[in-house]
Amino acid sequence: MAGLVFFGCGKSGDPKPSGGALSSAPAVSAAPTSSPAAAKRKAPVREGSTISRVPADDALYVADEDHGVVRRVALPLDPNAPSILEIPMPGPPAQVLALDGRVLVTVRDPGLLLIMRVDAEKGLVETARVALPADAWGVAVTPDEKMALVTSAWTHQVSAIEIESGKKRWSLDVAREPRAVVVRPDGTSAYVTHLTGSAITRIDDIGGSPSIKSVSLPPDPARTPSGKTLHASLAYSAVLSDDGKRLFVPRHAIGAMGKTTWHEAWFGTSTVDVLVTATDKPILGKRVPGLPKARTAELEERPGMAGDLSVSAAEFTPFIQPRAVAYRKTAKTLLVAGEGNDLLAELNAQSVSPALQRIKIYKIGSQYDKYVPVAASGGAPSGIALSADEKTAYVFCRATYDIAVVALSDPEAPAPEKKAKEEPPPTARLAADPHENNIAMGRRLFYNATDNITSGGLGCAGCHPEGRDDGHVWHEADIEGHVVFLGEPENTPASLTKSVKGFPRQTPMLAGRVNAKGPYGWQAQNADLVERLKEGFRLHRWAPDIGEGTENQVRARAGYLMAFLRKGLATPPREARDLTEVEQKGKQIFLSERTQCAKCHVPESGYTDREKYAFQRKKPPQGYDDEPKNEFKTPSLTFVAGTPPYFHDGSAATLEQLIEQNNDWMGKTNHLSKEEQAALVAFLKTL
Amino acid sequence: MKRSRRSYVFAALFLLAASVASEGVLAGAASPSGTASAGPAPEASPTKGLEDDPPGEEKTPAPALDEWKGAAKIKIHRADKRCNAYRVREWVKIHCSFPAAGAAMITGNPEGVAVWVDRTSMEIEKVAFTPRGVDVIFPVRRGDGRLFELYEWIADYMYPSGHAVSVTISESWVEGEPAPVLTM
Repeated sequence: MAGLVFFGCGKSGDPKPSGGALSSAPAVSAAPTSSPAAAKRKAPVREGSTISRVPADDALYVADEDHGVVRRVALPLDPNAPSILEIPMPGPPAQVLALDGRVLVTVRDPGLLLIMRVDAEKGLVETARVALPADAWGVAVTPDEKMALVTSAWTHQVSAIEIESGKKRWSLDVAREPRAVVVRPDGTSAYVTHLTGSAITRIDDIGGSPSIKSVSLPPDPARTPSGKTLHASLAYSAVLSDDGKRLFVPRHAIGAMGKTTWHEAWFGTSTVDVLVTATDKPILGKRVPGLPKARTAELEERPGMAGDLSVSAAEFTPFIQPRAVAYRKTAKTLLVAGEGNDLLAELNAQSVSPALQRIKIYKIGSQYDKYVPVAASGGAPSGIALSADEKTAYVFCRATYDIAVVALSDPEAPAPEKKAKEEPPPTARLAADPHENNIAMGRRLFYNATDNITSGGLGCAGCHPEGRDDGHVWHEADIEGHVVFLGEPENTPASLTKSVKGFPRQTPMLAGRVNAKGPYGWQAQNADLVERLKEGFRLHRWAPDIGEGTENQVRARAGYLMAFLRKGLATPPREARDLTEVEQKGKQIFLSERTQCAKCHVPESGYTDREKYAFQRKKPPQGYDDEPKNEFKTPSLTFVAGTPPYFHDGSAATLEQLIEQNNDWMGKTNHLSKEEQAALVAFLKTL
Repeated sequence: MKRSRRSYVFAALFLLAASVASEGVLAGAASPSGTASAGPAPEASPTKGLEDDPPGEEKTPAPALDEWKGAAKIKIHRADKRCNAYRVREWVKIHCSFPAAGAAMITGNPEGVAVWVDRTSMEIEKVAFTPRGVDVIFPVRRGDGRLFELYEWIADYMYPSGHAVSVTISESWVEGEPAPVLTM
């Protein structure tokens, strides 16, 4: 049960020092000494992250789910010789939240909340282990620090736990992929964000009989096509202003419009959406056409240059794939971690649209590989903890397993006349990648949004977060002979005279579904995974001829990604248990010769025969083109419970609806009674 | 009350005159110290913003030209040094001067809003380097949430080749907050 691990003994790929300075391996930390009894200190923040600073200000705790450990990193932090204590966890830890003398840790598989106390010898010792729905992820505490709320992402639940007793009070079913949880200052209600979809969830009476309601928060109204409400994704994090009157949610607005002088948004924009907590309404209303504008005569004479000035011309991705956020009270700013472009963006929190009023960008990534430009240091920032004086941000970087120590500037200070070249911040390496080099490179590529060959500005993790899916039905559009994906038709490049709709293509889940040789693609158009990845590189950009590399460059990237997707990507947790009676009945129906499900959804090969079949002719969803080639490959049913909506066009919102509306088209289901349909769905949800 | 396009133009003409007049008054102001000096003393930055004296609930008509002439300067959070803000009752005017290409309201309630840019013609080689006036006027009322963008020319060698956002103005008065927030 020793919680002490000597870091660096006998491991391959020992952590390398960063920032260009050589150093010895990180020292084993001196065990934290017990402090005399003192008045209880308030936690610096009430929301969890992959990194959290203790109130005593002498340590950081880091949740490293890839290594299955929590690490205690002593403060002050010497990047060249960090003092690290490694504490093994019973499963991959998602978040930590440091309270006074205690640390809360969420564990994904099995789903747990660990309540741990700081121990002089072992670093952390469990005082309670609370069983929760699987994939426990986000954590927050009430202002009195007596209750914790935990989201369980894959199983779409939120739970409340009494911290003192370790007793679970309740678990509630919520919308798909709940992630961040933020408790309102009055301690009676909380907001929950979701990885997919634009609404957030509010839970009231968390200390009594909780009730949930959906709160509308349309993403990026300033850049939404008139009259539309867009989908959103990647709402991993959220934070309140210091007075609790505004809730900030960084995420991705799929299909939002963006056009700078140089390029256009094909996928949408990065946004921080603001909810007014007094009214639960977004701070910005829907965008309407015909707003006041004025041009100089010279701009009027150059219509191609100007556009119609109705959409923001600001940079549409100041950060890519927002993974974490912190509120800087002293400056009234937000710090958002951009996983895809290895940076920290400081934004004006007083703005109605903070992403459009950025104050400073802190580039964190460095030591980019010469051949495949991914960072070897500061890659994929995933969590932020501020120092007590808020002059330093400690940023945990998940692709490179290091902590960047970022000196934050004074936002009130005038900008220097000449912008000095800024060096990347020093980083303290915590561990080497747990896998071999090919998988490690694949991991970095998976998060990376800046390699021009792989994608046009959005990493794989942008649409396939954690190897799952973003819940969006994309538009596969032919742009002058090249096929690309668009978030919405309004993302059609302005150079085209007519907006393109495209065919509907829902983002597929990847984790656990890409082990077969092939074929791949919704229409089985790619013989194997490497070919599918190569086609993906071409599809995911706004101008197809930009960034194409040589065959060797492309194949190298595809090879790395394939290694990571198959061996490095964690699959969602699956409860190891016997099927219930209803699920057994559903299994029999599934396997029966009369229903014929298993004829195409072959259990032995990931519940798919990988063959393509003619799909029933029906009208495409509104806003999409009709398909001339109406054949689709049998999709895998592995993990199907967590991937609504269904079909390539997302036309079935739930499995229940899919079965109900099937009408004997896929196999035979018309003969099934309501109870039998329900049993079949129950079985499908166990796959 | 909705305004037609014609009324925006009409308002813009008033704004042009008001802007020139108000800048002229300020530029001609005597040094506050009254002492002899090589030139006029630099103006002190305003110290008070809307939060120090929040507007009332009354909806008043847009200020006339003369009212802007004597308008008090107000402080904006994170102000751009090329811009000044003025206030008359609940109305705010922000005047900026830089090589402007245009300006636009991006989102929010357009009631009472006016946007103007100096359209004085000049040689094309000077366009991307010569400051022009840009004005944005709006009423500040509870429940507001607005965003404006002011655009500056980008020069390719000597000639304008594009434009980029140079100033972003956010105005909001959120329910539950005691005062509006005006920031750049």
